[in-house]
Amino acid sequence: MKSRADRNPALPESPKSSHFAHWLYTGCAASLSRSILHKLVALQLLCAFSVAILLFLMLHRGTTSRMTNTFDQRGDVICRALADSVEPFLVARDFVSVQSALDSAISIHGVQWAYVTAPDGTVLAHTFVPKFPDALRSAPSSPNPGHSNLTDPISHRQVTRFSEPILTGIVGTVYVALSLQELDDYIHRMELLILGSITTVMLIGTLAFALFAASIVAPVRALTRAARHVAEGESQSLEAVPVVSDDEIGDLTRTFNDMQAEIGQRRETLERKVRERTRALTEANAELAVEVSERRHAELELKRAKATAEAANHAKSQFLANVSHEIRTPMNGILGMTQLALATELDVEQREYLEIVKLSAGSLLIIINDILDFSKIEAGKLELECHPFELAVVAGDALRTLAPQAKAKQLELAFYLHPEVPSVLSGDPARLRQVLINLLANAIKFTHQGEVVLRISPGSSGPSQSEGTSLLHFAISDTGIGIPESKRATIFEAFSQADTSTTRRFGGTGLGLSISQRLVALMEGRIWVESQCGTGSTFHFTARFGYAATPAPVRPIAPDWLSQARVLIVDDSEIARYILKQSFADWGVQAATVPSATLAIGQLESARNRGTPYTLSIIDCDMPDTNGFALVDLIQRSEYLSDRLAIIMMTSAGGREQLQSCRQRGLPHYISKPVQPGELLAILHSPSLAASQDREPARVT
Amino acid sequence: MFAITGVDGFEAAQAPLAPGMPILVGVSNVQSGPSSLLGKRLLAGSEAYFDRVNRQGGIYGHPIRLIVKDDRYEPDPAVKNTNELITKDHCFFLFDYVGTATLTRVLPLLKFYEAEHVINVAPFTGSDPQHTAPYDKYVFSIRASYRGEARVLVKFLHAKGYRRIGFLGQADAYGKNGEIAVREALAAFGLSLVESVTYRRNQPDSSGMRAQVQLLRAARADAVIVVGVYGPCAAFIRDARLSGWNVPIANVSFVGPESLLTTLEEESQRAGRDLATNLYTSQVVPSVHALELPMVADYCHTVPPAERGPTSLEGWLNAVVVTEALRRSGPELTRLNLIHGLESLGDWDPGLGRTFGFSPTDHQGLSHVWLTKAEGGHWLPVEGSWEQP
Repeated sequence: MKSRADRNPALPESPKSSHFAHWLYTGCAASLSRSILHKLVALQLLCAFSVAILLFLMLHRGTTSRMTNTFDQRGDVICRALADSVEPFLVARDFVSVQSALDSAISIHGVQWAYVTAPDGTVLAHTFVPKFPDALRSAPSSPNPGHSNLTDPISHRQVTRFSEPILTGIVGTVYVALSLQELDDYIHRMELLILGSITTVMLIGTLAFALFAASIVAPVRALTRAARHVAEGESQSLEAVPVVSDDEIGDLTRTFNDMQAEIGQRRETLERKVRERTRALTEANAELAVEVSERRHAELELKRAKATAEAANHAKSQFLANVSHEIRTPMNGILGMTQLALATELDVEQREYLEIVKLSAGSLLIIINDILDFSKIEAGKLELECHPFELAVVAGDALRTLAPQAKAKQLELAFYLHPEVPSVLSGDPARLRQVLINLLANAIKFTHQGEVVLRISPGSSGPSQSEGTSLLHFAISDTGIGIPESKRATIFEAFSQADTSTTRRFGGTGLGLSISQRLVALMEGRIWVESQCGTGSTFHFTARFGYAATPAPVRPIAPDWLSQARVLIVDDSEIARYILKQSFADWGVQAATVPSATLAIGQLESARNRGTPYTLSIIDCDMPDTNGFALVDLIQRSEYLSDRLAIIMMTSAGGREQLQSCRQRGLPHYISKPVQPGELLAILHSPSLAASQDREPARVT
Repeated sequence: MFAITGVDGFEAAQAPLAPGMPILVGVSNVQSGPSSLLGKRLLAGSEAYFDRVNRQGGIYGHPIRLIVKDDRYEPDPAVKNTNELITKDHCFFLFDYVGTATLTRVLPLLKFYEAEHVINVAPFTGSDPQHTAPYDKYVFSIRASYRGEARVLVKFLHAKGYRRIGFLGQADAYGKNGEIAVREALAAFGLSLVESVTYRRNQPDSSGMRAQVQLLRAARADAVIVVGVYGPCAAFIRDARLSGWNVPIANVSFVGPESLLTTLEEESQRAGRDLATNLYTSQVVPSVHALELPMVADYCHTVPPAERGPTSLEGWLNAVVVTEALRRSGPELTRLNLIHGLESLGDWDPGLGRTFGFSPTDHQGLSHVWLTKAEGGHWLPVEGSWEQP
C-alpha cells in the first residue's frame, strides 16, 4: 500500500468526515463537469434551491397577507377599544380623561399617535408634539369605521390611520395611527426566519446527500483511477481495488479486480509476443538495409554505364554523320556523271540504263541521307521545307525508283490516286518521297509474290479548306510475310526490324521506319501498320500539306473521244486491273477487264458480235500462259478483231525486250508499270491515238 | 354616609388598626427622571412634618410610616404601584401622588377597590377628573384647581394688556387639563388662544424647545401660559430668551417653582446671562416668606432654608391636613373614620389664614391661588388682588 500522503487529496478513500471536509474544499475548486458527485450535489442543490425559492415565495406571500390582515385587525381593535374607553368621558365632556386615555393608547407598541375630534372636526384631544398637524385637521372625518394609509406629518413615515366614530359620530371620532414600520419589520423578521429555516434544511439535506453520494462516488473514483492505471499500462500498480461495501458498487469492484488480473496476464503474453516480433523485425530490417545499399550501388553502376552508353551513342551518331557525309561526295560524283551521260546522244536502251543508274544512285544517296537524317532527327535539327509540288510526280518518282526491284521479284506494283486529292500541294516533296520510298521498298523487300499497291486518298476528315491545309491518307499494302503482333509496337523504333533474322535475310539499315515515323510526325500526321502474318501488311500514314500558294496547274482532263470509247483492260494482276479500271471510271469511262489473253479474245469477239466493239485495249506484256505480245499477235492476225482497236501496252520497268517487241509489232503506245494516271492521260492525248478513234474502222498501224 | 358593602374579604380592612401598629401611608410618585424633584420635594415636606409627629408619639400611639414607590411620572407604573400599595402593603390610605396623567389613571382603581374605602389624599395636581363623578368620592384634594390657577394668570395678563395669549402644554392629561382651563378663563374675557403647542412628557432636559418657541412666535403671541414641569419649562424659557423673545411666561404651580428657578440658574450660568426674567407662577400655597402665617412659620422653624420652597411647603401642608384628619377620626383608626375625619375639616384653618372646604359632599380643600414673580432667585408675591373674580 502507498502511504496516505501519496494519494490524490481530492479522492477520499472512505467518506469520513475529516476527509469529506477536505474533499468538499478541493471538490468545489474542481470543475463541475469532472465528477458525478459534483453533478449529483449540484443537481440536488438545484432542486433544493428551486423548492426553497418556491417555498419562500409561498410562505412569504401567505405570511405577508396574513400579517397585513392581522395588522389591520389589530388597528381596528385598538381603535375600537380606545373609542369604547373614551366614550363615557366624551359624553361627560371630561376631555382630560379623554386625553389620559389617548396617552395610554400611544403607549401601545406601534401606535404613533391618536386624536379625538368633535363632530364639527374640532380636535378635542391629541398626542402630537409640538402641535396638532394642520394636514390632519383638514382631513375629512368619516362617520364609519375604517382605515387609510397616509404619511405621518411628524415622522414622515407611512402609517395607517384607523378611525372609529363614537356613538355613530354624534359625540366625536377617535383616530389612531399605527406605524407600517412595525408591519414591515414583522414581515422582514418572518422573511429572515423563513429564509433561515429553509437554508438550514437545505444545508443539512445537501450535506447528507453529499455524504451519501460520496459513499457511492468514492469507490467509483477509486475504480476509475485503477482503470486509468490499467489503461496507461502502469503494470506495477495493478493492485486490487479495496472493496468497501457489499452493495452493487462492491460487486463492481470485485468484477473489476478479476478483469484487471485477466488483463494483466494477457498483457504479459502480448508483450512477450511483441518482443519476439520486434526482434524478428529488427533482423529483417538489417538485411533489408544491406540489400538497399547493394541496390543503390548497382543503381550507381547503371547510371555510370548509361552515361558511358550515351557518350558512345553520341560518338556513334557523330561517326555515322561523318561517314555518311564522306559517302555522299562520291555518290554525287556518280550522279553527276550519269546526268552528263544522259545529256549525250543515246539510244533508248542506254538511256534507260543510265536513268536506272541515276535512280539507284539517288536511292543509295537516300539511304545515306537516311543515316544523316536520323542523326539530324536524333539531334532535333531536321526542318521541313515548304514549296509547291505535284503529288502525282512525287509518287511516280517513288514508284519508278522501286519498279525495277518489283519487277525483279515478279511483283505487281500498282498505284491509285483518288481523284479528290489535290494535284498540287505545298510541303516538302523530298521528305514525302523519302517516306514513300521507305515504305514501298519495305513492302517489296518483304513480299515474295503478289503485289504492292500505293493508294493516296483524302484524310478521313477530308481536306479542311478553311485552314488552307489538307490531310492526306497514304496506304502501302503488300502481300508479304506480315508482321507478328508482338513486334508491331517496336518496328518504328530505330535499328529495329521485326526480327534480327529478318535483317540478315532482307538487309536494310533498319532506320527507314523510324525516320518515316519522325518525318510523318513533322508533317502533323501519324503512321501505323495493319498486318496479318502470312497474308500481308498495310502501312498507313497521314500527312498534312498546305494548298499551293501559286495557282494550281490545270488539272489534266480526259480527251473528248474517251467518253465514246469502249475500253478493255487485260492484265493478270487483279489489283492492276482494278486500279486501272478505277482510273478510267474517274475519267467517266466504264472499262471492262479480263485477267487473261484467252478471255480477252473471247471478250473482244463477243463485243464485236454484239455490234459494240472495243475501241481501246490496254494489255499487260507480262502475263502467264499467253503473254501480252502473244495476245496482240492473235488480235492483229484477225482483221475482225483488230479493226478500229487501239492498243496500249503496259511494259515492266526496264523491260528492254518488251520495248523491242512493241517496236517490232508496230505498237507505238506503251506505258511502263506501275501505271501513273498522269502518264496514261498523256498517251491518251497523243494525236495518233485520237486519230485512231475518230476514223472509220481501220487497222492500227 | 357612604354605604358599606358587606363583602367578607374586606372585613379586615375595616377593622381598627391594632394598637401600636404603624399607620401605613402609600405613596406612588415621581422619584426619578426629569421631573423627579417634584416628587422628592413634595415628599420631603410631608416627611418633615410626619417625622415631628412620630417623634411626638405618633397618632394615638400609631407611628406614621410612608411606603414610597417610584412611578417615574408614568401612568402605568402608577397604576401598578397603587395596586400593590392597596393589595400587598395594605396601606391605610394613598398620599402625595404627583401628576394629572398618573392620577387620572389611578382613579378607576379607587373605584375598583371602593369596598375597601381606599382614598387618595392630597394629590399634587389641580386637574378636573378627581373633582368629577364618580371619582370625586375617593379623592381629597387640598390644593386649588388648575382652573383657579388659569383664571388668576389670565386675569393678571389681561390686566397687563396682553391679548394674544399663547399656550404650551404637556402632551397629556395634565397639559390638556391646563389648556381647557386657560381656554375657559380666556373665554370669560372673550379671548381664545392664538396658538397651542405641546411637548412630550418626561422628555430629556437637553431637548430643545425651539420648535415650540418658533410656533408661538409665528402666531405673534405676546404672552405665554405654560402648563408643564420645571425641566422642559426651563428649556422653553431658555430657548425663548436666547432667541430674543422676552414675552411674559406664566406657569402653574405644578411646574415645581423652586426647581424651575434652580434649573434656570444653571442654564443662566451656562448661557452667561440671566434667563429667569419676566416669569410668573401661580401658587396654591403662600410664599415661604409669609412668616406671618402660623403654618409657614412652623414650617420654616423645622425645615432648613435651603430645602424650603412652594412644593416642599405643599408637602408639609398635606401632612398637616392628614394628621389633623387622623386625629379627628379618633383612636379607632379605620379608613372610614379617616374619611369622616377629613370630611369634618370644613371651616378648619391649617394655619394659612384660609379655611378648608372639606365636607361629605365637597372634597376640595383650598381654592386660593397666589401669584408670584421670579425675582433674584426667589418667587415673590405680585402685588394686587388676582383672585378669581
